[in-house]
Amino acid sequence: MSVITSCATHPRRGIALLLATVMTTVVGIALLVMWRGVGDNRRTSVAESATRRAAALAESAQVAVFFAADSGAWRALSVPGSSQRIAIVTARRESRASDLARTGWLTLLARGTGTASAGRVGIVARADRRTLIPLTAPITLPHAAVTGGALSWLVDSAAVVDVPMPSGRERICRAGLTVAPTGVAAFPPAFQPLLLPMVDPDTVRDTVRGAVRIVGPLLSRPLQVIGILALDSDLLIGADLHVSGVLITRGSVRPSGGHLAVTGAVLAGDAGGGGGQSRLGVGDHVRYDACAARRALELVTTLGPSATWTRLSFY
Amino acid sequence: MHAHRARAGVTLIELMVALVLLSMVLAIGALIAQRVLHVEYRTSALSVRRQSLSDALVTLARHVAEIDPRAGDLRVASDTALELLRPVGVTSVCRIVADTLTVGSGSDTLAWSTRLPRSVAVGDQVRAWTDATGRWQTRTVIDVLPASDACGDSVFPWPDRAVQRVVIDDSMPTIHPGAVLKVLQHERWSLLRGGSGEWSLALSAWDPARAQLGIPQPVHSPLASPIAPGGAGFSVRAVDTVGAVLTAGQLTRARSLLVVLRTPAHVRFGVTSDSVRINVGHH
Repeated sequence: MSVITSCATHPRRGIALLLATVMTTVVGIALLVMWRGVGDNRRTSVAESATRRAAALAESAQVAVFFAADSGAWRALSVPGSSQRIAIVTARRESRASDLARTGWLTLLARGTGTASAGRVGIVARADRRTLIPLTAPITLPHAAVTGGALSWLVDSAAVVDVPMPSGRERICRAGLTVAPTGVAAFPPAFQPLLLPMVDPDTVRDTVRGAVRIVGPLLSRPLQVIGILALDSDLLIGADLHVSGVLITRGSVRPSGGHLAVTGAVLAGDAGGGGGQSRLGVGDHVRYDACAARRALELVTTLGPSATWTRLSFY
Repeated sequence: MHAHRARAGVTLIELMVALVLLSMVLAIGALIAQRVLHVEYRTSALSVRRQSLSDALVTLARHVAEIDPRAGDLRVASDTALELLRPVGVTSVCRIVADTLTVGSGSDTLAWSTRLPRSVAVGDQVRAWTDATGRWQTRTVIDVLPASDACGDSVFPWPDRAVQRVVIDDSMPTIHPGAVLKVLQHERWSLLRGGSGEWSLALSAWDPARAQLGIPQPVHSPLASPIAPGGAGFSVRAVDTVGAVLTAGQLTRARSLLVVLRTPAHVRFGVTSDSVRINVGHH
């Protein structure tokens, strides 16, 4: 009450009060404009930082896929069209996911995605990084149950070379390949440098799994192999030999008292020096199985060199 | 009583003195503020000019960075024109029969495929990865039809849905369902003069309806004219591994593109320019 009375009695004080009110209003409006400007800048800055963060998360997620692929995680992807979640990391305002997919028998796709949200208004940025990784296989899937390097195989009338009609998974493994019982094809040049562990068939009792070499030419004890059995010479089958996968020899394959049973395919280079032609004797049985052969060939398939990896991200 | 009134009030002289002092302070403050604002404006304007040039270069670099010169993606890269095939997306082959390619719908949930940012159009190029050779095969799209059935074929099933049937100019016999498929768009960057008389960096993308490059759209302006004393507003050169400038017939050897943007001379700010080196292809 005393202030009003004072104002009423002192008009100059009223003018001062009016000036103060006007100035306060002007300053208030200026502050509001500044605040809005700062807000706009802040939103832009938040969006940019979220985008950068999402991109960084996607890159790191993809690097995780590269590491996983390099350490052999791709071998779990047995069929084109299969994919595997390598990792997913979720935090309060960000997440990243790493996926490895198989798009073909010799193609992998590494994918990293990152999501980052920022700001109170909930800006969400998403980034996606993909890279195509070719696989390198030293030996391609054989087009015949038994393949000679220079000469066609001699097949005894009592031997069986079976190429069943493809169905189910076998159809996928063949991928449209036309398969013949016998064939002639150049011996795969990339086979020789392959470093495969040596196995002495005389000391092996259990089934051998993996890709191995044995010293030839005579096999005198029964042997069972799931994978790849390789020889740098001829192979004289003096005891029963069971192979589920691929039997590959630089020389020829000939019976010598034992029986050969293969589920997969046989490749003979006909270059062993023995001079013989590859032959299937009485009771030998070769059944073409593209899936078994593919599983075996996967053992010697590796990731292509990083120079051949192709970035597929578009941003 | 008189003494009390004199102490409580403010004389006109006191008020005048206060107002004069306040005016002086405000005047000095306004002068300083004006200078600061002027410097700020100049800095900000220069920064905006540089930033807008940089933004235009970033946009261009995003379009250019994914091209593969060895596959012929770089058509023209000289003076004030850049013509290229830009990948716009990646998806997978759903099915292929002779010269008709079915494209998968794609989905962000599939690790091997992404929904394309736009449909495949006539005049686009499609590039499919061939496992057997480890190379890309490129074809031109000559017709597009809708599709909506399962992917894969009797031999090779593929877990996706068909979205488009694309007739290409030649068959791709060694491609199987699931092969990675890149879709590329023909586009041209050039320095063009608009109706306002300003020169601008313009982008024209392929127009499938007219079967030619579309009307150029300005990306950044103003830029210096092609005959400006300091150099053209937009200039591009392709160089090889040792930095030698490549001519039209040598563009498959390109390893980098050198791009310069330059504004016209401004009475206050002069010429602003920015440049970028964009590495292309495998490194």
